[in-house]
Amino acid sequence: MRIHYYLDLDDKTHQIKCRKCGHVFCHGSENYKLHAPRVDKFPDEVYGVRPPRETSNVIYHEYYCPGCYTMLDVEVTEPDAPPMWDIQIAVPPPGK
Amino acid sequence: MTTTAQPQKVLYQYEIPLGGKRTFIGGGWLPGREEVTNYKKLSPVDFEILSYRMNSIANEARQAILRVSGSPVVAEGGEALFAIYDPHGLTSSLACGLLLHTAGSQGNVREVLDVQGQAPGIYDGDIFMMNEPSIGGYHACDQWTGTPIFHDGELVAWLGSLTHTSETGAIEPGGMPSSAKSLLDEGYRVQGIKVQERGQINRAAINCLLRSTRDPAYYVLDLRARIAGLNVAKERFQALIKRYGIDKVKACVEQNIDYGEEMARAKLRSLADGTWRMVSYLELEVGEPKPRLIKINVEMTKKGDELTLDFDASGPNPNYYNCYINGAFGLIYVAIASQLFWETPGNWGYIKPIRTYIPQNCCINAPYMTPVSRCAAFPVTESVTDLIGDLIYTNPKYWPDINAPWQRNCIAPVFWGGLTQFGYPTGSIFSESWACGTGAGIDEGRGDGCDTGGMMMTVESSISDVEMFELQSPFLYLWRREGKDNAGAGRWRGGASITYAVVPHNSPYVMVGWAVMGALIDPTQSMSGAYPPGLPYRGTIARGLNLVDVWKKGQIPQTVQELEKLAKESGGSVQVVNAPVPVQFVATDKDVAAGGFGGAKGIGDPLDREPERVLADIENRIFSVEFARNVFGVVVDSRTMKVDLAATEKARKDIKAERKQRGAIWGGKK
Repeated sequence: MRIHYYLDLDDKTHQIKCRKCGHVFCHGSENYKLHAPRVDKFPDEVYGVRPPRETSNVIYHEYYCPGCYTMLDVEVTEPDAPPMWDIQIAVPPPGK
Repeated sequence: MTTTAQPQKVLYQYEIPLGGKRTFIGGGWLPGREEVTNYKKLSPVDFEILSYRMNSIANEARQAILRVSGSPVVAEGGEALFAIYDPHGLTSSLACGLLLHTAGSQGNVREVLDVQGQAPGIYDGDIFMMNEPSIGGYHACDQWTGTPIFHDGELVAWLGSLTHTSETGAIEPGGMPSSAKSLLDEGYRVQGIKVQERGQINRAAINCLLRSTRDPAYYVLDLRARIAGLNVAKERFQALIKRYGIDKVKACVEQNIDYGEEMARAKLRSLADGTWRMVSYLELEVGEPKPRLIKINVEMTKKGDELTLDFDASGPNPNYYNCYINGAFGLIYVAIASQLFWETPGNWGYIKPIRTYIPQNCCINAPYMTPVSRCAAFPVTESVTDLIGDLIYTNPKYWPDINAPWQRNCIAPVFWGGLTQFGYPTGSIFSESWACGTGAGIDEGRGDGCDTGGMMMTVESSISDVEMFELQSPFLYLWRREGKDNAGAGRWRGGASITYAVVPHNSPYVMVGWAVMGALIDPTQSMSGAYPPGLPYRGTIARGLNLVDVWKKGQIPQTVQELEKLAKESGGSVQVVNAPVPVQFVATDKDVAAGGFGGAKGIGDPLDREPERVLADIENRIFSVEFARNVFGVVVDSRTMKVDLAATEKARKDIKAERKQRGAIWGGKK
């Protein structure tokens, strides 16, 4: 089952996989972002009309697939915020 | 108005209890709830015919409103709604150019039944008016008129028409005053009075309204447009009863609602169960050294055929970016109606499977008397749009419908007031609000968003051309064009929004009001690895320019930088607008107000966008060569306007290498 532009949830194993490279992140009962490399960027590190870091209370958390380094999400949030569990499909925990 | 009280979450699920007795309300009997809902189900053929006819009546009535009103907001922006309600005020059929009110306007009927039902009573030919934000609307500009339909001494339905009428007599022209510190600053608020009694216009009531506004001419046109819509629909509805019989028409009004609910629940059942989360921000309280973050969290849980939206939001703002609870419903249903249940009849039925928890005394459930004219609108709609987009990935049938959130942030001279070139006073708005970017889709759907495509809450909106606006209003345009580098960059990009600059002309007395939202932060995100759209173009008021001399030379300033240069040469000044400011007087042929809107959201990693699409974006002035190089990793030779494929491959490899080098699992693990 597809759950994201770049992610599938395997119907049998309930594992979350990258649709581009097949990398397995974790079981679907976990937050895939806890298994995805993240870079914290000030908005003004990204080209375009962005707020300067002096006046911005939020930063970008970029998450990538560890297999192909496709960017999976860009959270706009407070600097120390933990990864947002944005997609939590109701699947039984592993082994159940 | 602020509060420090700990907010308490409240479940909002609007239901009318079954039971209740028939009540005499003056012009006839209001049936009990059970009497209304125990209808004899129509045959599929009868239901198809009658429900289609009712929908046509609502659409014809809305078209009547659009054609009678001369207001740009209604006639061009499409901000008009027409609804047929059941006897207790639940929406059955809807013609909706203003998705905000898919849920909210039925509160008006409930209020009228409550305050007018016993005394002085509700009669055939009565038309009631309401624009109280805390009851059924969103802000005082949203003005509703409604009329009952009686048949053989029984109330069988209500008709309602709604327009956004710009001028409310608020402390600033245009109905959404930046300076408002209380609801009392936002203009007159009508609470269900009769503007027509038993078929006779109530001139005293209407004069109260006309003499409370800066622009009685546009005002009365909008009021007459709404009444015209009611008259058209009433005639058609009565003809329907005559042709098909009252029992079938009454049954159809309720069956429409039940059918809407069935369709909504069936669609929910076809999607995966789970929970989706989103956070977005309003930064609007400007403070030192940084603006105070005003945060809106939402958690959406879908289980079986029900959807629960659980909000957690910061307290009310000191200025006008708040809404009352029914405003929050409106904002939620802009997303629900357009993204999830777009194929479902727009009525109370599709609202029934949705449970909404919202804390009390927050910016989207503000205490009474909080100013609400601009509303904390877009973060709620955009967050729910984002969540629905993720939910519908779980059924391939709906992949073509996936749509990232549309534009939300702006620093723009949206409102204006003063004397027109024809010498009469007015308060109105510029039409650029309806020319913002729409969100991206995915491969199986629409792909890129539409540039200057519209406004999410008024999906049918259009924009007047510059010449027409200049003919009607005391302004000249220096420029109006799509903003560059502000669309959400992704595999599929969001639509670019509009930027513009105006100068007052041929009037001695003009002022401009600003809409400022998302000026200092990127308040909401794109989807699935796309970057958030850029900030809106810088808001600027350039004063004291020798524009007449410049025009005589055949020149027209085309950028903020040119305005700054001209201000320097003319001994004028330049003011940057990046926070809500009170309305500003602007001098004829000397002062320029310039601003624009942020772009819409994209979907997917920008590095996955085909280089030829990026090149087309550059040729269409959506992105610059520098933006393409830095964000998409696409290298374009600005002299030949060709993609350098080898350099592009290297640039993209370099960007991925940087991701690999800097990236670390949260919590410290590399």
